[in-house]
Amino acid sequence: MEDYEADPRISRIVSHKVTRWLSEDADLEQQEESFLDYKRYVARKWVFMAICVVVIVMVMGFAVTYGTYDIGFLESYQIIWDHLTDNITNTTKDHIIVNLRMPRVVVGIVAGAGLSVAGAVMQSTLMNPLADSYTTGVSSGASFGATLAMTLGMTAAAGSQAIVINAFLFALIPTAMIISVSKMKNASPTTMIMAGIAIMYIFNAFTTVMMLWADESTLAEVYQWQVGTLAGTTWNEVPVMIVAVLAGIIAVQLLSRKLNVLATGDETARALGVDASKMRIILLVIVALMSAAVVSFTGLIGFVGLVTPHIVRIFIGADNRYLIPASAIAGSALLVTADLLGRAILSPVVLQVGVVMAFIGGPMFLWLLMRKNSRVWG
Amino acid sequence: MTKIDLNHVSFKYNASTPVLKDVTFSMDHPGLYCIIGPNGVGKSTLVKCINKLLEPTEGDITIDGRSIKDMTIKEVADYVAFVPANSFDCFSMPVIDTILIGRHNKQKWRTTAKDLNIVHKAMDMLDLGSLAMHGFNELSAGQHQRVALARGLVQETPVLILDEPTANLDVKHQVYVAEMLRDLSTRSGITVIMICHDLNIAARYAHQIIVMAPPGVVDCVGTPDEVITEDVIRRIYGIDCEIVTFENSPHVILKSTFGADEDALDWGEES
Repeated sequence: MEDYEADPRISRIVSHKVTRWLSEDADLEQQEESFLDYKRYVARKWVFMAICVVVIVMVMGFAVTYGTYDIGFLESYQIIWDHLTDNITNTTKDHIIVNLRMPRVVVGIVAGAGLSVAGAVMQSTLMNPLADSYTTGVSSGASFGATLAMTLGMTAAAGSQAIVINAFLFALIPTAMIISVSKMKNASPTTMIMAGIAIMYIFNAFTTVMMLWADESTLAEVYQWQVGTLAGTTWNEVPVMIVAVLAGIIAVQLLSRKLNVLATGDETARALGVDASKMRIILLVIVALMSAAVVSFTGLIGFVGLVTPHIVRIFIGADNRYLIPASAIAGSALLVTADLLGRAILSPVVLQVGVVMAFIGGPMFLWLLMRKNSRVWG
Repeated sequence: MTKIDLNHVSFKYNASTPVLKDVTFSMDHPGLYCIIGPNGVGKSTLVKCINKLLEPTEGDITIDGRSIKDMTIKEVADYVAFVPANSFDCFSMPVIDTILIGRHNKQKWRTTAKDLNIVHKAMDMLDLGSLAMHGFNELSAGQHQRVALARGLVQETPVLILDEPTANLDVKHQVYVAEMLRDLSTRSGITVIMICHDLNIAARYAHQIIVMAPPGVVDCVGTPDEVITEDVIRRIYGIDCEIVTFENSPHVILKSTFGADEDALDWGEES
């Protein structure tokens, strides 16, 4: 309305602007320019993702290098390359890198991606900056399901898929709970998280009870889960986890435009042709599956899903079409870095990754709680 | 051109309190329709029924002869765009992306030059050009409202429903937006339905005014000259006024006395 001073008759300006709106291709030149601007803005998001990929590759190198048996940084990449091209020169080093150290890194990458995407989806669907699979109790449900499967010896009968399936089934209980809380009128984001934490306590208590019947070796395993760890992972666990997490990420990515619509509020979403309640259930079930697949093998790693999407939003904004893949990549980078830190910082004592993440995520969670009126809260 | 018919539409949130009772009218010409009426009379409920956000408990609404009961919400979204009274974003996106969400139904995964062109034209029309890359949550309530309106416009639907689009706007933007909606509906042949509390905005810019009265009924429908009268205002709002003619449209000047009946001062429920 810059020319109000020049021509005070609003109707003239309105008429002019409406003409521009109704014309097919107004201001082609300006349009071209703004399209370029927008492309540059989108390009920044790809740059962020590329940087995260570089970080993952670098950290991966350090992580497989780090250990008692001395193998050089660049040598590690060489060994991985040789293994992939079926050209193994030193079988001992190959065994150490590929069979002993790589699974930990790969599980870290998959777990980081799965939990972060789960967090990003939960935050957008529930319109709650505090949500992730840990704070809403979904992980605890999954953890209980997995413990149950293990102590009842289902692993022997049906393999690791049985654990994941059972974990998934129990993860659906907190999911159903969150959906019903989110439908309550006047349920604030904090109420929802309080309910989630209550569920978390209940399931963790059940898990502790289950441990009374567990034998020595199972007990040790179950204990590690409660802390959250990447230790003791082997290639056997990778396929089930990758399939579930990758399928989840692809599904969420395909729905990411609908997720954007959902984040504008239920009414606007319905008016735009997206059935908000149905979409929310679909997305949260996918989240439950991804969380279950990760938790079954790594235990309760908290806060990755909470922290990563917030960090990513600072760099690339809240558009879920980019937030989802960027969270996956950044989450992988964060988790493998945290695991490497945990191994290095108090060496030779190893801090489990869940503990490191709690040190990073706990303060972040507090900070999010305190700055209620910030941009994150709207 | 789209024709909307409401046949004996009733709606209740629960069994005891009907919100809409036997509403029947039709909008068969493009133009700007204003819905006026006291708080809690069911104006928002009515437009949400037209939009399939709510299902009428009785009666039927048809768009171009098709009952919306038989349409999916996606099909309704192709016909009707809806801008709610207040919109918010939990995780703030730049204004341009916020408006682009309105292209949801027309857009593939990638944002095309055409989408951006329409968004830019909408921003130009609503005086938002300089805010394109600002975060939605950094804006004022009035700017939010214009962004929400832009998001409704870029849907390019033949029907546009607005719940109090001018409530948070300053006078200049109120007049501008109302003038724009009238001009747009006349020249592009779309039907704009808007809930409005400002009687003078309605009287000056609407082609048709739908007057609602308790308990959720349509009192009368007509041109501003037909329905903006001292009688109607007293009957509906229970307040005395004087109607003068200013620049060819009726203009309401409120008096400080309530209408004949003291009990007419019934604040009703907030909608």
